[in-house]
Amino acid sequence: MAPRRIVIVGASLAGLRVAEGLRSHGYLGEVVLIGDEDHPPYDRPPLSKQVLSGTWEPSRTYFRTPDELAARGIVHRRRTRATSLDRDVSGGVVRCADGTEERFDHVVVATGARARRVGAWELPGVQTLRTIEDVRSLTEAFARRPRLTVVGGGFIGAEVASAARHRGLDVTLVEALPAPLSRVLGTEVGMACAGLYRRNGVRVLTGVAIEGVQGGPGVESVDLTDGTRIDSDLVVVGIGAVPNTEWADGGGLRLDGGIVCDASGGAGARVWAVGDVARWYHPVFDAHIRVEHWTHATEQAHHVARAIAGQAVGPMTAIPYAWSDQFGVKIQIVGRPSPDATFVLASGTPEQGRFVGLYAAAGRVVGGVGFDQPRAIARVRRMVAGAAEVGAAVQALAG
Amino acid sequence: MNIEADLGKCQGFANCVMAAPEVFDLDDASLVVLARRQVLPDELEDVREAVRSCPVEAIWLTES
Repeated sequence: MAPRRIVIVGASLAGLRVAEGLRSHGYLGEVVLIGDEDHPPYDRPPLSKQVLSGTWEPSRTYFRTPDELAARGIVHRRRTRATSLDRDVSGGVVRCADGTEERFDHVVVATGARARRVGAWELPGVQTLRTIEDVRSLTEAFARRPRLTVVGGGFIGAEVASAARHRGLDVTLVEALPAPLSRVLGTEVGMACAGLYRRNGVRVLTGVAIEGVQGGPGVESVDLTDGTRIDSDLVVVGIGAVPNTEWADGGGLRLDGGIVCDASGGAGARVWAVGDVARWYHPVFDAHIRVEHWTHATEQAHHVARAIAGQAVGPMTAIPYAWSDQFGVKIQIVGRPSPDATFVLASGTPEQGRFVGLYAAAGRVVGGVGFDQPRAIARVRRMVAGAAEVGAAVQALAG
Repeated sequence: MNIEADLGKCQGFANCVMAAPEVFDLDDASLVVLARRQVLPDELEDVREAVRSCPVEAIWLTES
């Protein structure tokens, strides 16, 4: 029997796309979208880019108006935090913090991830960036022209630094590894990023960790383990995200660095997971991987919506793809680059600012990175999907 | 099917190029460029993915 009531927990990109995908594939039953924020579903990547740099108003990130959701037959419950998941033979119940319950035939977990924080650094003026409220608060802080220290040279940190320099702020970026982004992209590309940031006026300190954050009541300085003191009025911590799985702990799911799913997003009978919270089996990489990328969330949502709507779906094989806009450069990453893979430059050089690099394991292309090279990166994505031999791939990209 | 693009909405994310590089490109101003408006049958699935993957809904399909 077709499911009559689908409950989607998490009303950001992945959850919304499941809800809309169900409708576009002809599902006629009830669709309930539960989220703990007080906004229509909105888009997060522009928060650290267009919104923080002042180009967009926050409301421009809204995907849909409440009327548009209603017109699609999607019930969106705002300010509603799910607290438990209980399953039975025909479905189950999601219980919420306000005491309400949502009965489901199928449930889709799309609760995302939250910014990782460090308790010992908590002071007024120490912030993370994940939500519209975060970016509003940062935008207000930027207006007071603070000395900004960014902790963590990942994508969020780099984009915050980029937006802050765009507004002319004094910016220091601290990364514990030898180069920003090197945990994902390796030292060679990381050094190119450090050069890009420095040319744009960011003070980049690498290979040094945070000793502590001083101040009272507001932040006054960030102290490093090498004794350096960075006078700071504002600190943005960008050290990764933690999947929001705790609430679903009683649901009999496998929770291991995310909700563990098969290659179609199934986490158990009548339970699915999509987006940042989910760790799907990926047949191309023969591993369960959790991917915090916009595009992957939409692809997973599309896949799960089709499956619930009764279409035959196989394993999802989409190759992860992410982009980051920093200091006027579009950085694109496909597949699974890693510092352990062999890095091969396919065209251009990092010093020139435009290049394509490949990551190879056992002679096969497993990932790629490009600076301002979208067409080449699109080709690399297909090379990763086909496990192309790296020498042939380099030749093809040069030709 | 035909592809429509709104250059006022395009932000140069390049997601469409990633999904269907035989149809989409970006120009020097990082705005979408269509190789052609008409979608060939064997490109349709890639182009649908491109439409789905545009964060700002700057491209869409119309019946020709």
